[in-house]
Amino acid sequence: MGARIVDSSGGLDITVRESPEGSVLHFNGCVDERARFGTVPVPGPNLIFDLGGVALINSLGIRGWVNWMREMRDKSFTFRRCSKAIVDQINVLEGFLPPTSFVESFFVPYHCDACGGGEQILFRHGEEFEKGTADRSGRVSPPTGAECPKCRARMEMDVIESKYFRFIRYRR
Amino acid sequence: MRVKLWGVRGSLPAPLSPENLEARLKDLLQDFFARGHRDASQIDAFLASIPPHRRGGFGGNTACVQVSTDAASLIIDAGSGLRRLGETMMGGPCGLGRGEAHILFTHFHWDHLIGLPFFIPIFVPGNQIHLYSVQPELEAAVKMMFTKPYFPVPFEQLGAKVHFHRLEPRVPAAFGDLTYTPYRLDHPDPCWGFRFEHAGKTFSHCVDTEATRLSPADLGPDLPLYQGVDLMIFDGQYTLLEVTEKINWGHAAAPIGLDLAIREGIKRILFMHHDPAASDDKIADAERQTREYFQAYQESARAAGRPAPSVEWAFAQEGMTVAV
Repeated sequence: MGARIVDSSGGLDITVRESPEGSVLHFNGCVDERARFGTVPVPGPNLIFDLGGVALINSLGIRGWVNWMREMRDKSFTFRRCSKAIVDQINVLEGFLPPTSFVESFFVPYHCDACGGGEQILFRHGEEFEKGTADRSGRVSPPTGAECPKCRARMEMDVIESKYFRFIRYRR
Repeated sequence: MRVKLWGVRGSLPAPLSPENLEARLKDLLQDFFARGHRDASQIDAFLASIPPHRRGGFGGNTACVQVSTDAASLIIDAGSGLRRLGETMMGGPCGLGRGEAHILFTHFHWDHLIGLPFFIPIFVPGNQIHLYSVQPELEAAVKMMFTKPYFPVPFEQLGAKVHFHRLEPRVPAAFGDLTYTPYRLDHPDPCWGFRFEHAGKTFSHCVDTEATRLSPADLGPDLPLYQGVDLMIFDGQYTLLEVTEKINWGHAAAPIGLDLAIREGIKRILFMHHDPAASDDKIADAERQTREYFQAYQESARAAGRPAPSVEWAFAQEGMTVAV
């Protein structure tokens, strides 16, 4: 299945790739006022957003993003490899994710106190976390013994857990 | 240059109801005693420890802002906040029929006009009231307000002499030692912001606006309204989520102002035009959400190697005075 670059507005590149699970959209760059979501083709009912490459998102981009999500309210969304910038907005802005969405995975920054290095570790649904529902509270099970890629010392999560994992709790 | 906020609400005045005021007083009194205080001498320190939204609140009067230097004083808009400003002015030459007032109008929605019939200097013979706008309908709009059955005193019977002045869009105008330039805002009816300059300092008044034009290219000739400003007053009526729901309602959210500030080098922002349906608690919550948004943005920007300048900001309260 081929990939196409559909928007390169100077701040954000979006490539679309068709796959058996649906249309996979890879985002890379900054979601700001330059993002032109309306030009992105979104075929099919199932969309997978790979957001690992989103370095920055601001309110000017959020407005366009939320309006775009609303235009596609008949589709289902899977959010994959959400960067910290995206997770922060999921936590701050209720409504950032459409109701028909599922967060499959997201990155958690880890820091090494020994050498100052660090790494983004991917938390996957069903493994390192499970989202809360009306019947069950959410769960976060960080990997044990995350090692620094540079010096092999043990790394610590570089987030305030109660804030960063807030979106995993059930929201009515 | 000094900027005083006489009214910071939008759309409709929003006084605190008697029951809400009583509930607030009760809450404060309970808090006072719960902290072990017993003496009146402890009141000031106690109140200083209480966040502003639980004390006096953000205010209920609609838009009215005064810009002054030692040599000049201009008023922006005649919302209900103009009434108290007028009372203050009556203590000076206006009270003797030897005063003048200069009011710039951003636009003619009711919340920016309703204070005018209650601006006492306009009734005092001998006073000179100068009204300014870019829009040509200013005289018609004002005369309509002073027309029976909407108001008992017709325009022709006002004591003061009222002068109407038309402003050129995007052309600087001098007033004493102030220079001001109108720039177009994004609102359902024509609305103009003002950039004020004095002694190398700049203040921009950007209310009412939805800020739908955001990129430098889209802003075009109105971009200077935001560039390199020392103080900006910006429309913060809604939260970011509300703004995505209220498209074409004509108002913005604080995070949008912050992102403009980061890009354009604005040093300080005050957000006003608070929604009349928003309680002081709700406005304080919007302020908290804005703080979270800004902190998250700063962290992401630093991680991405992008500029993360600090911007001083607050949600405006009626009665605030800021030196620029």
